[in-house]
Amino acid sequence: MLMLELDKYILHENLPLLEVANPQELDVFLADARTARFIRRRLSPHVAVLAPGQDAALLARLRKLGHTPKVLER
Amino acid sequence: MATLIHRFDHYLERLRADQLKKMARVWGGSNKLRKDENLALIQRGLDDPVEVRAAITRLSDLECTALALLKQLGGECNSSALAMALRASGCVPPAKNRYRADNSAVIQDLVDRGLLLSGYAYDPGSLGSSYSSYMSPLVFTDDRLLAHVTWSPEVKPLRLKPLSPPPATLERRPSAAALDVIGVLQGIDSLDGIGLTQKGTLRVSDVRKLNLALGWDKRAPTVNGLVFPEPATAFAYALFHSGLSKIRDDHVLVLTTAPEHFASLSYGEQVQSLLYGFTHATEWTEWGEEYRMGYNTSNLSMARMVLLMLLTALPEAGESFFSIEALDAAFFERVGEYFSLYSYSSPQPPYWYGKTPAEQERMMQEWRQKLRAQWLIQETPWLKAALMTWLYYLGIVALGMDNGTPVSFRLTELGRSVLQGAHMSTGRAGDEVQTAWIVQPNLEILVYLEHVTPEQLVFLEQHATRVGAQQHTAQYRLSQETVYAALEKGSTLERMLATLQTGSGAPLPQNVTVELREWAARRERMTLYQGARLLEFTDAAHRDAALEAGLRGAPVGEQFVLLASAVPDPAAHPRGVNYAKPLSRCLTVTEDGMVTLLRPDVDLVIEGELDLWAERRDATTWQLTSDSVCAALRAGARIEEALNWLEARFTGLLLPPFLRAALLAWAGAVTQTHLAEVVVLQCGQREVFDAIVGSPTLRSLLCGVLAPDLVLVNPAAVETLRAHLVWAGFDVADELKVKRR
Repeated sequence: MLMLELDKYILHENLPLLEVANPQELDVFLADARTARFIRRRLSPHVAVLAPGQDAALLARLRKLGHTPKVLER
Repeated sequence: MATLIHRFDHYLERLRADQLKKMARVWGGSNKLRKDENLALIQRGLDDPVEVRAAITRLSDLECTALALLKQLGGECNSSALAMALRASGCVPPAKNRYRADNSAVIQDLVDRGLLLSGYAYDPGSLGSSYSSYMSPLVFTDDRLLAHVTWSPEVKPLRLKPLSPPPATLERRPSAAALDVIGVLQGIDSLDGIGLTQKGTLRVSDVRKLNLALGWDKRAPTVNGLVFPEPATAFAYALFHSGLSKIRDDHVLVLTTAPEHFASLSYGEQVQSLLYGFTHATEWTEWGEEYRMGYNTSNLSMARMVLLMLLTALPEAGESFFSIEALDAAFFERVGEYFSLYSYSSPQPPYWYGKTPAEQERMMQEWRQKLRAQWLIQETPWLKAALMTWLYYLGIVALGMDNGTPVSFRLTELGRSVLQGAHMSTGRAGDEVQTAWIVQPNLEILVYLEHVTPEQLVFLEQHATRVGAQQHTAQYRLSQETVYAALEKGSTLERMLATLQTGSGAPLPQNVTVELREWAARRERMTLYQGARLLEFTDAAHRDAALEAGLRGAPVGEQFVLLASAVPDPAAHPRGVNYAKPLSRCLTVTEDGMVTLLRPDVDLVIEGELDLWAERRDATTWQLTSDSVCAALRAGARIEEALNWLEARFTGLLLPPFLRAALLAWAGAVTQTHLAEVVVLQCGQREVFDAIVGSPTLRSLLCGVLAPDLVLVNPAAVETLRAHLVWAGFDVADELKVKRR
C-alpha cells in the first residue's frame, strides 16, 4: 500500500479544473476577460483551477465560444 | 391515480351484520355465523393466498371480468363507469325486470359478494342513488384479490359483418404516432411545463406556445385531413391522467418521465399509458370547445371506456373493415338503455304500472326507439369524432374513407396488440434492427417509418434533431450540438457510427464519418472537471517520488498530481481543502478597500479571486477600487458575487458598511449626497425654537428646519437675524453644541 508523508502534501477535493490539449486555448481564455473571470489559477500550460460553483457558467461560456468540452462530474 | 386505500380491513367494521353475512359466503361463511365471526372469516380469507385462489375459482364470468377491469384501472373506478364497462363487455345478462336492472344493481351484487366496497366512508357496503352518475361513488377492490387476477376482462365478441375493402384508407404507422407523441413530450419539456390558472385550467398563453412549438398553428389542426380539435389541451390532460405528467407546487404541469425514457418503451407500452389518459381526460372533448355545452363530463369518460371495450370485442377478421354505423348500433345495443352523454342520470324506462304484458312490451319498444333517435343526434357524432381523433392519432384504428368521409374502420396491428393482446410483428423492444434510413452527405437522415424500430427511433432522437415528419417518412439532422449532447449522455463514437451504418444498410458517406470523428475528437481535447481530486506536494521532488512509488494520477505542473482514483488511506489527511464546502476566512478588509490576505497558501483560488476584484499592492495586500470592481463587472461578474465572496472570506463580523456602500455605488447604484457650507441656528429650548421658526418676522430669514433644534439660515440674512436675537435678549454663541458619536 502506498504511504505518503502526511506533512508533504495537501489534498484538494471537489476542485473544478479545466484541462486543454492545446495550451494556446488556455492563453486565449485568460486573455478574454469574460472567460478569464471564471479562472482562478493556472497550474500548468494545460491545466487551470476554476472558480468553485461556477463551472456551469463557464461551460455555458465555452459552449457559446464554440467549444465542446467533456464534462466529468464529481 | 388511486384515491382510496385498497384494503378492505379499514372498512369491514363499518358494515352491518347482514352485509357481512353475504360477503362471507365467498370465503365459506354461512348464515349461522355471528357478525364478528364473519368479519374474522373475511379477514383470514383475504390474508391467505390459498383461500384467495380458492375463492376466485368460485366466481362467475361477470365477477371475473369485474376484477380484471378493476386491475386494469388501478384497483378503483367510478361505480357507474364500472357498470357501463361490464355492460359493454356483454357479460351482464339481460334484465328480467328493467326497473330493477339499473347500474347500481349490477355493482351492488358485486359488493354483496364481497368483491368490491364503495368509497362511502359511512357505509362502504352501499352505493347510494342508482340513477345519477354524478352521485355514484368510487368502488374498489382489495389488492390481495387483485394479486391473483391474471386474466384479461372477458368481452363477448360483437356480431359485426366484415366489409369489402373501402375505396381509400387512412392509417398511421406506430412509428409516426410514437414520433408525434415524443414530439409533444419534448415540446412540453422545452417549455418547462404548462402553467395552470387559479381555476386549474391550462394557461392560454402556454397552450399557444406549445401549439407553436409543435407546428399546430390553428386551434383544430388536421392530421392526414382529419380535424383534431385543441390537440395541445388534449395531450396535456391525457398525459396528466396517465401519470406521465404532474402538477408542481407552483401550478405548472410538468413531465414525470423524460422523453428519452418514453421513447425507449415499445409502441404498445407508449400507447397503452396514453389510452388510459385520454379515457379520463374529460377536460377535453372530441368535437371542440364550441360543442361542450350540455354534456355530462363524467359520462364522457364512461363513453370512452365503453368504446374501448367494444373495440376489444371486435371479431377477428384479419384486415377487414367494419361499418362505423354498425359499431354505433352495437354501442347502443349494449349500453343505450343505461347511458347518455348528456344526462346525469340513466334513461328512465316508461312507467307501466297497471299495463298488460303486451302493452308493456309496446311501451318498451317505443321507448327504445326514442332513445335510439336521441342517440343518433347526441352520441353518434361523438363516436365518429372519437374514432377520427385520439384513436386514429394514436394509431389504434385505421379508417376507411369514402369521398373524404370516414365510413368504416378496423383495428390496426397496434390496436389489436394493445386492446386484444395480439402479437405485434414490429415495434416491440428488442426487435431485430433493420435498414430504416438513408444518411445523406449533408448530414440529414431520411427515415422510413415503416421499417424503423423503437430502439432506432430512440437512437435518432438522442443523436439528431428531427426537422420534419410525414405519414411515411421523417427527416433528422446530425450536428455538432446533437452529437456532443449524445456523447455527454454516455454515447460513444463507435456506437454512433455502427448504428447509423446498420440502419442505413450501406457504408456512410465519407464526409459524414469524418465529421462525426472530428466532433468526437474535439470533445476529447478539452475536459472540465466539476470536482477533481488534486494532491499538492511541497516540491517537485516529493511529487515525483510519490509517483515513482506508485501514486496513480497525472502530474500537473511541478507540484501537483491529478488523482485517477481514491487517495490511499483517505482517513489520514491532516491537511486538505474541500471546495464543495465553505472555504477558510482569511481576509481582513478596511473601510477604504484595503484587503489583506492572512494566509497566502490557504487554497488554490483565493489569489485569483482577489485579482479579479482588486488591484494587487504587494504579496499579501490588495485594494478594491472603482476601476478594479468595474473591470470585473464589465467582464460579466455581478456585484452580488463580490459582496458574497467578501462576506464569506472576511474574518470580521460585518463588512464595513461604508465599503459596502462604495461597492454598490461603483456597480451603479444611485447614491446621492449633498455637501455645502451653511449657517445654522441651534436652540435646545423647544418653546424658544418653535417661537423663532414660527415667527412671521424671522421666518423670512430662515431656509428650512433640519432637526428639532436646528434651522438653516439664509446666508444673506445672518446679521439681520443676529440683531433680532440680540434685541430679544438671547445669547448668541458662535459655536454649535454637538454630541460626538
